[in-house]
Amino acid sequence: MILTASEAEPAVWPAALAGIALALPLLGAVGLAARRHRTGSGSRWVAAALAGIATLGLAGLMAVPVRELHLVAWLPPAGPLTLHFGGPGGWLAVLTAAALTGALVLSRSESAWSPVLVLVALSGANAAFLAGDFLTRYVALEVVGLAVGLAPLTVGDQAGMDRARRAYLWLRLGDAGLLIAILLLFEAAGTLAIEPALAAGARMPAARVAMVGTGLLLAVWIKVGAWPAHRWPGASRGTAPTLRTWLYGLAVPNLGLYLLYRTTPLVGLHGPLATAVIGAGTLGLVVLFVSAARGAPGSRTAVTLNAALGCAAVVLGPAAGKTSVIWLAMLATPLRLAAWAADTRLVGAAAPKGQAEPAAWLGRIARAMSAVVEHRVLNTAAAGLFRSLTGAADLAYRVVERDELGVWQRVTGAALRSNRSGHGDGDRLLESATQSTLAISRWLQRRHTGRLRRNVAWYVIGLTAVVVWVAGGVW
Amino acid sequence: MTTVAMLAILVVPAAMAAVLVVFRVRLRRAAGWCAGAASLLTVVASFVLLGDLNLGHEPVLVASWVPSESIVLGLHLDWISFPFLLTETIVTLVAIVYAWGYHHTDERSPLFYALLLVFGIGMSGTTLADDMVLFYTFWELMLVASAVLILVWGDAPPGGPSRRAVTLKYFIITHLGSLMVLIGLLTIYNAVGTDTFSALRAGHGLPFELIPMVTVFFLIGFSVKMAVFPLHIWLPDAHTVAPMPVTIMLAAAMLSMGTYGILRFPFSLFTREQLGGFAVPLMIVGIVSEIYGALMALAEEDTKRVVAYSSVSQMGYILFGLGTLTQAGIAGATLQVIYHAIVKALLFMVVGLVVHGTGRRRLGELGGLGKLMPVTAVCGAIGTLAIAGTPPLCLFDSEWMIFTGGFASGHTVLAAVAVLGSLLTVAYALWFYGRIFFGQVPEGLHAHRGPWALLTPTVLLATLAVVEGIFPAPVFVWVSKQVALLLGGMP
Repeated sequence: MILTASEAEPAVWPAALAGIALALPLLGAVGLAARRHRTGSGSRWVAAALAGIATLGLAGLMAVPVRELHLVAWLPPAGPLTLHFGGPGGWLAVLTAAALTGALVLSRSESAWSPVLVLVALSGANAAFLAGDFLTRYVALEVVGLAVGLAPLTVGDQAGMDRARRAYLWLRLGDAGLLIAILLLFEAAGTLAIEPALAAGARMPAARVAMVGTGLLLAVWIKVGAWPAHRWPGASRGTAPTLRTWLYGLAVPNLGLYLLYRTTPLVGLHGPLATAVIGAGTLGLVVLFVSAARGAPGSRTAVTLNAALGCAAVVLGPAAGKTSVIWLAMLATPLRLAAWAADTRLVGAAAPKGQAEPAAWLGRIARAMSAVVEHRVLNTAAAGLFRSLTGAADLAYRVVERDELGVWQRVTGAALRSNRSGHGDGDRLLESATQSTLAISRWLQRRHTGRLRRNVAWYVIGLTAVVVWVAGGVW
Repeated sequence: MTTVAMLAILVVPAAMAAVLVVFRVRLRRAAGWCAGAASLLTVVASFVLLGDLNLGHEPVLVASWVPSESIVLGLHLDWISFPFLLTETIVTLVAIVYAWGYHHTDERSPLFYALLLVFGIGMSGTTLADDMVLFYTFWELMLVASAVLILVWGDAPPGGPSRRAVTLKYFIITHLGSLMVLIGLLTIYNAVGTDTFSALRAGHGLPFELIPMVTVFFLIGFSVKMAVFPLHIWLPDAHTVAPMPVTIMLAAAMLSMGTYGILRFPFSLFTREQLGGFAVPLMIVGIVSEIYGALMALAEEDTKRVVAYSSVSQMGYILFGLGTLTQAGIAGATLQVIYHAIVKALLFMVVGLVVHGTGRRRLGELGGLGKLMPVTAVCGAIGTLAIAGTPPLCLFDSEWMIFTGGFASGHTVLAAVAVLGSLLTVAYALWFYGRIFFGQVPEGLHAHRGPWALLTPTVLLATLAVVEGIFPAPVFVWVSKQVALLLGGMP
């Protein structure tokens, strides 16, 4: 039985602990942002302390008897925002927050903004792990996505802006898939509460299940960084160690894995979709393995490992059940942290010399596969799609707005010509009417030119008369 | 009191405009303040009317004009018109305050402010009118006032079309739309014999076979004002050439009059069943407009044109929401009108600050302004993220509702395309912001801080975009009451 805050009074402790886990990091981020020029390296320790307290708050929430807490109704038709305590989501939140505390303590160089961004992301991640409804989860994931997008901006150059845009767009693409799935589930269940919505989703027709599953998997795929959506974490290049190691390397993939954990039962209901997911994940693993055998540059090791873990997760979920995903997330956390931490040190360094050349046949396969891995094929396809879209827009612009084909000119010209040839008498009548109007207009202009004040006075008198007349009619 | 408040919204700015014209020499320096005071009074009067609406009263003012033809002149405020009235009066006020800092005072300044007030009267009158004569009169008044403002005070970019050409295009195309509306109105009047909207809503008795034809005229006519693809061709040039305060009023307030027209006529007079055949075409046109506007915004180099095309895209969202014919979709579309007004005015103000501060308006000539204009950069970031639909900023709320309506309508594929199309909005918003505020400062670029008259309304609107996003409930309540009056009474 799920105890909600209203059933298990008093709810003061859960609310206070939730405040510590969710609001405290956010408030800390605001404070650090306001004082970032004064605190210097101390901001890292402040952030570490806040992350540690938030971790304790999350651990405390695992122990309270209350399982659910209703917050405010933000968007009235969507129902109240809800937090759900306990279960794998809670444990993953504790693990992720503890990892941030460790990363901040061990880190040696942080930029002024990185403690701020990781605290914002921690707040969002905690809310996403504990969310009891889809609206809270979506908004929380967007907050994390925003922190991910802002992180490359701390580098401070145009390249940083380009990387920020790329990372944020990738995450928004995933969130678009998530939004489609959420709204379809909402339509089926009439509620955004996750459990009932997923239960209603399981009763939907197969085509709808496939659509919901595809949307959710798009979000999962991008967040876990599985091949071929594995390149966006590379946008963290050059950012502070904690941003790279924790935010890009751990928090977002863990959020993706938790989403996969919730999604897996629904995906499992649709055989062809589950098969396709397992197939795509396996293909990704093979490609990444070949790529690694070919000798990936050192600076991409963490991205490749991240992608491999992501592919393993999407294969494991439908194949071995949802619990396996959580185990993978838990066990892989130290590995991810170590890989990203090592990778951060390698950034900027030249690729290690003396790499072993792969065997000739393996090299050929690797080169072919790496064309896909390196996104040449996918980039070309995406660029082609974008070019066709912009081409269509450009054509529409030229035809509709600039009338480069002269369509409007021809149409209006033809209309005028037919008007003139077919209505000779009418034309003459029109012409004389125009001339008369012009003459009257000129006479009026001559009479009134330079006498604006008098004209306006007459106008005001006339307007007043109208107002009086109208008012007389009213009263 | 409510009658006085309703009249004040029209009479006070009209009287002030007349005073400004008559005493234009003496009031040269004080013209902005006088116009601002009159505009502030209209905002206060709108809130007075809100109190009355909340009590369940709908202010009405009726005068018989041509009794033999059953033509009456009437003003009436209900929940359909209130969100638009409030939006329009507030936008007019912030545009006038912005003009204090943007417009150089000269001997023609009183005329400029008088015309801004008349432009505002046109929009207020359109929302308050309860009969066809007043509605059309005010509808055309806003066109004439805005056209004169563009013609006389417009700022044509080098190499672009002249002010005269832009004004003519704007006038002729939007007037053609107005004529479509007029045909629809006259058809209804001829068939029903009354020109009062209240009487029409009570039971119009319009012959069934006329409903599709009238609806087509209304939809095309009002879509011209909304500037949805392909009826938007007046918008980019008009927004680019118009002086910034006028651009703000055009983009943030006047475009919403098209939405108001659609809600006031087809959606208010006809039932969901009668409009069922228009749902998919409206949604498709909405999606095309959303995507086309976003792509053009990505392609443009002129900062004002980027934001102008963004309006075409945003109007696509609104039309899509209306096309769903669902409670959530229509409520979302109305919310989008209100929030788009806030965010679009904010973005144009940011562009105005950039142009004012640097003297440059092309993206290629800008960059790195985040360090030189920090307040503008923060306001721009809020506007950019808001237009990209990022929670918890205001446009997220309305887009959520619109997309909810899309899926509730049963047209799942169209709704999914609309959601995916929104990624292009994110793309152009980030591109636009990054080019202005990030990267290296181009050689020779100097930026000076904007005057308080430019910064204050900008900061105010940025704050409003955040506050409205976090606390949307009051506006939701207004819009819910509005939706209950539409499509024959929605549940």
